Amino acid sequence: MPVMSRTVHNVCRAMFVATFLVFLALATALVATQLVGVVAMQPELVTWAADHLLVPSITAGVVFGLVGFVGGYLMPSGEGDEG
Amino acid sequence: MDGSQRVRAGAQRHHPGGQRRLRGSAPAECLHGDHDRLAGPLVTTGEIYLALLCAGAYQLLWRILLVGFFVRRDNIQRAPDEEIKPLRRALRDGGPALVIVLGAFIPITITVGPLAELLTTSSPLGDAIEEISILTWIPVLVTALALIVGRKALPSGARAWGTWIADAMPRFTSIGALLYFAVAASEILRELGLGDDIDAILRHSDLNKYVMVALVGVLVAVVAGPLSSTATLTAVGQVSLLALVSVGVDPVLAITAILVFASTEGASPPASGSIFVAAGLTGAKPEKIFLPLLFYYMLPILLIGCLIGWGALPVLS
Repeated sequence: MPVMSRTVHNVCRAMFVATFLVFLALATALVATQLVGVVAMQPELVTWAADHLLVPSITAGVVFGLVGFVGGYLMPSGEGDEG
Repeated sequence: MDGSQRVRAGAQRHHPGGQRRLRGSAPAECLHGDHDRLAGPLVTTGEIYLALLCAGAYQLLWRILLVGFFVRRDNIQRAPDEEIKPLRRALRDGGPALVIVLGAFIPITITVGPLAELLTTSSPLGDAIEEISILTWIPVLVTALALIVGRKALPSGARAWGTWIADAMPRFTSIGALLYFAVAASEILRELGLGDDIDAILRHSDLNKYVMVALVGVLVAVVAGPLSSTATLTAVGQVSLLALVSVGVDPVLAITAILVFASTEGASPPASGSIFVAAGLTGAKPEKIFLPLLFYYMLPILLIGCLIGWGALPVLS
């Protein structure tokens, strides 16, 4: 594998993993906070999570999806033809 | 009294004269009533629960029949007795996987139906329940439960985790693009006035009930091809309902039939995201399953919707 391809490959994989973890962390924080709010009957927790975490979660999900989409085309041949 | 008659009786009991009101201009709130009303003054949400349950049961029955057909056609042999685990052992070995269903069951239960109503009206949570997005809850809970159930198969160490996650990236090449362009196409068609076009077609039609139900079914299914079911119902749901009710279809039957028609979205090639997700998971070529999806799923589901709209398949209310 040429050095350039290997660099692109590593950057893509790192960005994919990083954006996925950010997205998953935000979404998990959103759901966990709302779940605690429902169980503890604390409506302000449910509302606070929706107000502060929903848009960041969706934004992170969009970024993660775009990175995955672009990354699939930048992968070296043979690694991106599964989907 | 058959099912459709019970539906009709129920609708008339709650909303006498509702059909006559719909023959005129469309009320703006027709498909956007408050939380216990669907289709404005026509039907309550509670009235269509059982109807939709019946419609779902018909589709489930069709799938069971279809599986039986595939088993016979492909001559799939019965598993040897020694490979069949006793029920108790099978539940002990695979039972924990059933917990994953809770990932969908919990958010649906607390946001839709009697428990949601109870939490909204009789608990401190009140309207905060409406802030819960099941589109976020379901994937997060399913992922969390899957990680717990399958914890023994998970990688160990940060590097192994990174590799495990990154290996999923190729799947996004087609899935990500398709979902993006499907949503974009949906928005463009809405901006171009697809709903008005459908309205123009149906408004100038002088058709009987049977032809109108079939025509609406085809139109909704065609629209559901490039659009999601939500976008489809937003674009043509109201005009479809008006068209069906105006030719004498009971409102509950009309709503049920329209939702069945729109449910072909997942099996409508070529732009349904579900097809590509399923193909990505199984490694199948999406274009090879277009025709089978059409004949085994889309057309039969359309027929089920038509039969419900015609009153030939009874539903409860």
